[in-house]
Amino acid sequence: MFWRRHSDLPLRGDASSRFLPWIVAVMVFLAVLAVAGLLAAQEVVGRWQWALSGTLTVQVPPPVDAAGATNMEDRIGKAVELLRRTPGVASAEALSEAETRALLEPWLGAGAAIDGLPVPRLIDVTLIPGATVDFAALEGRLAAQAPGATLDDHGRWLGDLVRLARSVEAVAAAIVLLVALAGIAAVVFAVRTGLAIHREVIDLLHLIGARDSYIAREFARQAFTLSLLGSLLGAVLGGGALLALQTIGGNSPAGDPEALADMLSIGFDAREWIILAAVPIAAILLSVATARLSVMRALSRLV
Amino acid sequence: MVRFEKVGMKFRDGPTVLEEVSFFLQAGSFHFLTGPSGAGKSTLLKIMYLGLKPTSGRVRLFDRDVAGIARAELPALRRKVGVVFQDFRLINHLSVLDNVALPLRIAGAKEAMVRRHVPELLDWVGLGAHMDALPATLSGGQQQRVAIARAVISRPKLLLADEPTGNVDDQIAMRLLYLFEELNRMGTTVMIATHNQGLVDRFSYPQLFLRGGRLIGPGEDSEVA
Ligand SMILES: Nc1ncnc2c1ncn2[C@@H]1O[C@H](COP(=O)(O)OP(=O)(O)OP(=O)(O)O)[C@@H](O)[C@H]1O
Ligand SMILES: [Mg+2]
Repeated sequence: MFWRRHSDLPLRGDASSRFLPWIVAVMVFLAVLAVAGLLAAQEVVGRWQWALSGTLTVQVPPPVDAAGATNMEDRIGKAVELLRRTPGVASAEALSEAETRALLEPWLGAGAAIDGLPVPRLIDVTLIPGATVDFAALEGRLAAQAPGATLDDHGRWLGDLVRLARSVEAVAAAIVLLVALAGIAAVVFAVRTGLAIHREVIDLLHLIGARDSYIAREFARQAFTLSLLGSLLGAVLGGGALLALQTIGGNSPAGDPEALADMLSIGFDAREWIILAAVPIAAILLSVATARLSVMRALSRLV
Repeated sequence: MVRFEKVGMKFRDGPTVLEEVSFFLQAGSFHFLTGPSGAGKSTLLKIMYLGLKPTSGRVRLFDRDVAGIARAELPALRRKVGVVFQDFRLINHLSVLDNVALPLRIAGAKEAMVRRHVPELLDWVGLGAHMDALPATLSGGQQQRVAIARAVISRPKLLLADEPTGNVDDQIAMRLLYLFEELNRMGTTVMIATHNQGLVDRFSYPQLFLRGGRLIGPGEDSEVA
């Protein structure tokens, strides 16, 4: 039935619907890119949160005088002990001098003698997942054990990044919404024009006993064919663009591929490709539903 | 089957086309509707096939007051009425077969049934060789027969034919009228509008005569059986 040779309305030749596949293609292309942006933003935030939440760093400043130097190990030991006793803390590990040196190497050069430099020492703290810790109170108690010790929960830094990513998401969602609305408008326009062009045949079909749904089905079928074409094209273009971006991003010469590229790359997994593939399908469903509904609405206002 | 009570029709900003038209068609009857050009025959038929609402009076169709019929109920009623339009109203991009098949398909008939009945009927009206032709490639008389085939394919309870023999020679006209008689014999109520008085006179069916939008003669204000 669906692929019957003839449809009763000659919608195929309509000038009003000739551009629909192209419009749908552009919309699907844009929507695929926007959804990809949304997914990428979500993924990046997820990765950052996963990497940073549940960890904090305590900084113990170097002693101000030579006498204090002997106290350094003592102070760190006390701080670590305090941290380990604090509820919600899973582990606290002071970075050894060697590790601290390794951290500073990129800035100071290998073999730099940091022994004489006033370098702060760091304590890596891991929190029990889901635990809430009063950071302000903890910082106060730390300072009592090791004067000048500060606590960095990455929250502020992460908060800014998350806010940025969230606004990227909001923009992407807004684009998807606008594209969908524009697509709906294009389909409604094509349908209205089609109804006007074929007014006589539609009148005849009604007189022979056709229900509005019979006529709507012809338009829905036409919308299906045209948006299928457009969606395929848009999906191919969008998917191609994403693959190209991925390739370029992967080969990015700037920066360390292990770190920066990994943080920012848009490598999509299967789940995300499925979501992206749902975009053209959703476009087809949307245009079919729009065609049907707008025909039914327009016809119900007749006679 | 059909009852008109003082039906009047006046087009907006136009002339009064029908005035106080009253008649009754018994189920299974056969009538001619005659009258000069412009008398209002097509308009009267259009009211009967629910293509136009009268501006006054009451129309009953299949024991329903037409004024009270909801839009959603129209398709079911219209499927019981076969109409031969004066201007055929064939669908140009559909083949003869698809045009005739339209009422069956709209009613949801199986394709196998369409393939069986449509060619049979087209053979009967002498168009068996033109099933795949487009209407525009046919002569006026051939198009008219396509229109007639489409009107009768679904065995309607009421057949309304507007000048169905206007474009064919007398021999084909008689043949088409025999087709209508055949349908009538099987229970279809038939009304044929025509100004071909010679043809009408060859049959003894009752006539409704319209002039200037009023029924005149035997049908006037009384039941015609
Ligand atoms: N939609 C319309 N708007 C205004 N006037 C109309 C309309 N349809 C028909 N008329 C008028 O109604 C009158 C009757 O027309 P109708 O077609 O019913 O006549 P008829 O008896 O079928 O004529 P014919 O034998 O030539 O077919 C005509 O004067 C016509 O101008
Ligand atoms: Mg007429």
